[in-house]
Amino acid sequence: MTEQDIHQRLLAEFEEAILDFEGGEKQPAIAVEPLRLRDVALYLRDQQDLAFDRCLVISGVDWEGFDESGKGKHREINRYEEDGTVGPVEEAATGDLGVVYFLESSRHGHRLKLSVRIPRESPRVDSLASVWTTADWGERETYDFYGIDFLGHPDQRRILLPEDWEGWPLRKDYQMPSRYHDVPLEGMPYAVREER
Amino acid sequence: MNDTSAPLRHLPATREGDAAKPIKSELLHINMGPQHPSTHGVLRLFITTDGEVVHNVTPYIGYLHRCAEKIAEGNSYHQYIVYTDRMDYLAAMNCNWGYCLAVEELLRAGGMEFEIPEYAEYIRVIIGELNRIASHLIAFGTYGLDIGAMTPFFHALREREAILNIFEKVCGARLMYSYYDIGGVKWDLPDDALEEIKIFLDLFPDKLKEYDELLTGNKIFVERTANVGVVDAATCQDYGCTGPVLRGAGVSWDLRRNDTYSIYDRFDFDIPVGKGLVGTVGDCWDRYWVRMQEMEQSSRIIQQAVERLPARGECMAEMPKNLKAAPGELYTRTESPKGELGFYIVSDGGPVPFRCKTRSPAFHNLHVIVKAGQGQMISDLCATIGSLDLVLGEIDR
Amino acid sequence: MTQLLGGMPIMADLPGWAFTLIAMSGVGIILLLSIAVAVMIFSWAERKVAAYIQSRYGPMEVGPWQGTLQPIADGVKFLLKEDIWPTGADKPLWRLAPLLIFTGAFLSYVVIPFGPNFIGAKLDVGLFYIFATSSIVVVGIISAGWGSNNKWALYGAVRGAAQVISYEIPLSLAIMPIVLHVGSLNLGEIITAQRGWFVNWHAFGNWGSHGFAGILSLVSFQISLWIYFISSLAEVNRVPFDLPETESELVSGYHTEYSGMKFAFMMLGEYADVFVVSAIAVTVFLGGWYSGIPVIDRFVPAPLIFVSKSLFLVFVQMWLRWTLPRLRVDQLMHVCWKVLIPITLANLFLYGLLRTALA
Repeated sequence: MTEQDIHQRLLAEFEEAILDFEGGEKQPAIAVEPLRLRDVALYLRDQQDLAFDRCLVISGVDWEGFDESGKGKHREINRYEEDGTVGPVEEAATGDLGVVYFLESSRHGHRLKLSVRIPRESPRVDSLASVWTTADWGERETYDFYGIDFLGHPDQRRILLPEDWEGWPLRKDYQMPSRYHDVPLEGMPYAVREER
Repeated sequence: MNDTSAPLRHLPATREGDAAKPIKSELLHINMGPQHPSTHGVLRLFITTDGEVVHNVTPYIGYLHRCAEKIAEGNSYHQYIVYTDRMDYLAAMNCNWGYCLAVEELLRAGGMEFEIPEYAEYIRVIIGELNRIASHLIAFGTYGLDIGAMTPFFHALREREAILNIFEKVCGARLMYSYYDIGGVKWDLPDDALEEIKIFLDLFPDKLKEYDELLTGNKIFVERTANVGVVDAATCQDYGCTGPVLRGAGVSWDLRRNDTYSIYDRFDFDIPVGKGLVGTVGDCWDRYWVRMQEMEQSSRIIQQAVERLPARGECMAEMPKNLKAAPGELYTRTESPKGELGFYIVSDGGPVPFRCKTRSPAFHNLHVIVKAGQGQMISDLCATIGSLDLVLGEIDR
Repeated sequence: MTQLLGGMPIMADLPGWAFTLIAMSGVGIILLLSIAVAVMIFSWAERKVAAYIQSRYGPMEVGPWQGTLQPIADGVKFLLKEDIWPTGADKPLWRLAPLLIFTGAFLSYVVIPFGPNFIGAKLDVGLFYIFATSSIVVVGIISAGWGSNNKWALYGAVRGAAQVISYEIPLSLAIMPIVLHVGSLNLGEIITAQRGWFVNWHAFGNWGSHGFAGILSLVSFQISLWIYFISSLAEVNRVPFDLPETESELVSGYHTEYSGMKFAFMMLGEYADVFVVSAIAVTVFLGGWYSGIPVIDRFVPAPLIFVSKSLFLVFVQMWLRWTLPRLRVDQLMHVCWKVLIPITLANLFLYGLLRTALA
């Protein structure tokens, strides 16, 4: 099936839930309403001619400060001083968080990218761990880095960071704590860069 | 770090039915801790056993987490190549290649037109396949160590020394190369490196036969690995396992063939698939056998590449100094020795990636131990972990 | 030893019990020293054999030639190491374990027949005594595992105990046909039954006393030899049966919490045991102190022949260690109970039939 067909199928089934579609032979992309994510995922997996039985990777994205104009001057929330200490944060982050799922069908060979955007204040989305088991650990990693709560996940706890770590590191407004269990953390320079 | 004194909240301390039996027996919670000769790095396995039989395995990872993905958001595309080496440090060239390919595809999708010189593509294939052999040699050697045969490890390292010497001639480093660059490779192959590659190709098939004699057909090895740790194809697909794990389960899926990149379509090589020759399809022996066959196929590819190597030319395409990728996002994948290595890069037009996520093959391969480990004995668990060929640097990034 | 001391002038004046005491201590000291030296040589040999099989050199630095003084360096290291004990360890048990392991091995040396006049004690139940004393090692293993307060050590200990106890059965049953043939458990007599040419060795069927039925006894005794050798590997926890101390799974099993001199004692005990089982194999199957060619027997001293044959078997054990992978514990048990024991029982039965037929 071509990606247009997939898009048409999904539109027919879930009209308003499909927010956006981007074609492209390498990577057709579909943006989905977060509330219907699980239904869409089950539909994609179970329909015989879609048969997306492989979830390749799940990634979280923090869209805060994304420069829509394409010039790459994304807004940096965090300020760091010369010596690497954390500076004051001037404004709160407002951008959305997002989760991206890459799917593939081993039978038909087509690929699809499924993305959702969730508000930063209440980052909750259905867990797809029961749809593809790959999502189990992928969602744990996304929870670990972004703090997105996956509803219905069997074992949502941090995977790469220690279980009692505070904060969601990959968010753009993340500030490292100054200590972790007697280990001082401040003063570590974090990629202090100049103007390009 | 983790609270190890409290039992995991969702595991019972005793089996059901224990209260009814006259002898009180308990499940033993045992920790195959981060420092352990058999766990291939800093991996912690929390095992609940009934005597020798494992009821539950819970892997704890993150001991080698070095925040690579956050670092990517602060470094330019070129600066990040160095970090990709450190992920799968045993197959660093392939990790470099995966990342460089991802950035190149992103640039192409954004409209930048450039062509990687053919000479550079051939060098990429030769070096990448050599690193595949080196990585599989370590997998083979350490697997022998896990099973108890200590000699194949030294023999494997001897061959790997030859490969590392070649790499040292090529780029000056033995482990963390950063040889691949966006648009080609950094430096040309020196003459003596090419000679050494040819010498290596001559002597390698005999060594493979030696390894087969030592380990592959050894009755004790077969007893330890056949019908052990069986992961069937459906489970593999479900858990996202790729690479020798998936091929050992009987699925013929290799990104070099099924989703061709670079110039792999010009080479003639087979994709070894586990057939259950001495046990069940998808057992540890099959995964081991797939790796041994892949080494042979890799040397075939290198042989063909060396023969068809074009005349010496440019080894790098023309790239702007300050690389800015057009806005867009792309997920590109390559076949690393461990499986499908993918990079998902989001760009907003700047010199620095907005998000760069690594899809690590070993991360998903490790996930399958939760299912495959149940009902095995502890020795089998070690055998299964060894057959998954994990590198913690890649899992933890 | 008694004759040696009897010749000395002072000794004749001492009362009987004092004389025996001094004679016994003399034997003990000589044996202890020779075990210590032998174990040192074994540890060096193990490392060299391992190295050459793995295409590397092994110890080269210490000592004038090929690192021969390496064991002395190791010994000094063990002596100087800090004695660490785990918290929560059962101190009396934990301290007792190395001693038990070493004692079990050392006790067997008393009856090993190095030569016709070089046996510590000419026991009539020599063979039986060896099997009995080697069981003391099991108590030591379990004490080490339990006393270490370490789950992995416990695993290793339980596996080790199960393995050693199980494999004692095929070990002793395999030797039974020989005992039937010789009619005695005395090790000296078992050797004297093999005097003459090497076809008289039990490994080759002892044609001298069987005559033309030698072909059958050859088959029977060969089966015994191979089963004995395999079981002896399991008795001393060598690969392919070294699961109790397997490095890749149990981080050294019941040895884990030992360091310094205690660990040295356990290593000493293990290597001593390796020599004992090789010596028994040489005694029972390979002609003991007879070289197989009567001419040589007259010129070469008997202990030299005996020790060199035993050393060859020790070398074979080391060779196997670095070649083969290890068996899983249930496969180990399966081999013992479902393969080796039925074979030894059948072998014993058939040799008994042969014996009756010959009589």
